[in-house]
Amino acid sequence: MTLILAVAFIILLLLGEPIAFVMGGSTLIYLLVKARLSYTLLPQTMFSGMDSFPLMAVPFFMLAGALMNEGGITQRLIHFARLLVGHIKGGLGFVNVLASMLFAGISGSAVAEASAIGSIMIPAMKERGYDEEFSAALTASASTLGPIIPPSIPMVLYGVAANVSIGALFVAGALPGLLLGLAMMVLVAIYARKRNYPRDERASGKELLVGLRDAVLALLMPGIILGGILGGIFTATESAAVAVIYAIVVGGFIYRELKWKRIPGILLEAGISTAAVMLIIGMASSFGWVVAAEQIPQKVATAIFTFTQTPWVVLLLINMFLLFVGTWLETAAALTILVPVLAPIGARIGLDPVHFGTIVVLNLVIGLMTPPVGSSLFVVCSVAKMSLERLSKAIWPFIIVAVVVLALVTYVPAITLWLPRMFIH
Amino acid sequence: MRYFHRLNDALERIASWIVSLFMGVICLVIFANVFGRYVLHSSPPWSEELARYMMVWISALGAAVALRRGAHVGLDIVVQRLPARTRLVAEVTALLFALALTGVIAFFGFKLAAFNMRQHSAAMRMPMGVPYASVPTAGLLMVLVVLEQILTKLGVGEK
Repeated sequence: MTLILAVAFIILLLLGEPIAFVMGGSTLIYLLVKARLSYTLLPQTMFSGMDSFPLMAVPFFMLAGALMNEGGITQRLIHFARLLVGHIKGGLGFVNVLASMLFAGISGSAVAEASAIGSIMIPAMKERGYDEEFSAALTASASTLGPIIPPSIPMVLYGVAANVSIGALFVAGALPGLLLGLAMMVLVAIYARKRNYPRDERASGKELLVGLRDAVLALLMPGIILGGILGGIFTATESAAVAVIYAIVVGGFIYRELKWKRIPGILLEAGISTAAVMLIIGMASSFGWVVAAEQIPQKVATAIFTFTQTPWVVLLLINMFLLFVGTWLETAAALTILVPVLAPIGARIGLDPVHFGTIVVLNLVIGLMTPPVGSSLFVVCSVAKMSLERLSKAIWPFIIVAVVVLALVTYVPAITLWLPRMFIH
Repeated sequence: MRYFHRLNDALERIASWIVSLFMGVICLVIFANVFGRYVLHSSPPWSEELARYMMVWISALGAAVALRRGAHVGLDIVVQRLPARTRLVAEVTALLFALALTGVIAFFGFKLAAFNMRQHSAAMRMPMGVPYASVPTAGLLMVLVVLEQILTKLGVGEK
């Protein structure tokens, strides 16, 4: 039966079926073969998968990102980043990474980040004489900071699937995200020296102050989100809703750039992006039911532990497996299917569930920029009007850097656990 | 065929309209919940439930709209490399399979919703069939979208 399930899954995947239908379809085939089960299982598990309060953070964080772009918050963050680091050699490269980090403090999705930062930074970098491939590859890789630096949509999904505190996961992502951002900046510095990239003039103290004043309301947002969750003032979902209202107030009343007429359209787009993720989660919970019924988690655990018992080897295997899966499979689908399989293995080798969650998310997020398939790559290709082949060649150094950071995060637990232990008791 | 496109256009407009409306409402409901808890020291017990069920409806209707726009991601790099005829066969096979799946979801989802009309939700005492009905609605809308896509692929209705 397990074999039928696996074969059905792979065939449907290769046929180009949407990933949600791949999972729903495999479940359907399983139900066809196992005649004693009712087909009602499919709608029932779909419904219970989607009917979840923590998952409602997903649409809100998507909305917050879209509203930031429309309300002029993104532009101010980029401008502020430019004042801060523009004067370094290869300045716009640094600006790209720093702005991505700031944006990541409000948005939780790599796709939103890639299009928001990319549509401003790629043309700006091109104008100043940076190579197009470098600008595009940098944007695609920096966009992965979105779901690592809190808040994070994949962390919400992990928290729901593994029943781990979403607040703790958010905080755990902060240092790894910072580390990844710094690692990318090192890479930018190397490129800037080798290719002699230009620098901006240093901003005066007055310019800096004005920039800070403009950006301060935007910079406060991550503080509100994280502070609110850590202080026990609101849940992750509520913090996301507060972020949305905050973005509307700042963009609409203070910056006055948000057009009220645009709001229904923004709501619709965020609703549809959410629905695409939710359909995957619904179908993945049907599929997950079958996976559990077939006792696949137990089978995988037994297979791994008969091969090795050494924790670091198990972790290496899990990382390699997740990097491979992340390359091909959509993040929400991978999380919902794999977390129930992998989390018990992590627990058995004595890993903190928050640490393990960060490792899983980091792996899958790297998958967003690994060719030949990855949402960040696709978005940047369309923003930069560049072929996937050209971008794919330029992105390898960035992937290597990210994998080095992944190794650090995997084997040095303090990078993830130090902050949550400080704040959450 | 033209009427079929028009039918789907109309359904897409209605679904989109409900999606934006519900998105706006759940933001306000959750925000009001926080506001109520801290400022008025009470928050209505039904707010979370209402938001959750609206969210399920957003997901269902939005999923159908996303399907029509081709916004559901799939791994199409294998199919894209096939020669034109084989590719058409693969695509139509995938669509026929999607038709079967969405059909099952529509039919058995309807049975499930009808069965749950007698159950009532915890806070609002709403028949559970109302949120459950989102699943067969999504199924039915997606059946129509997939049918439209199959007919378009096969060139039906072209002159």
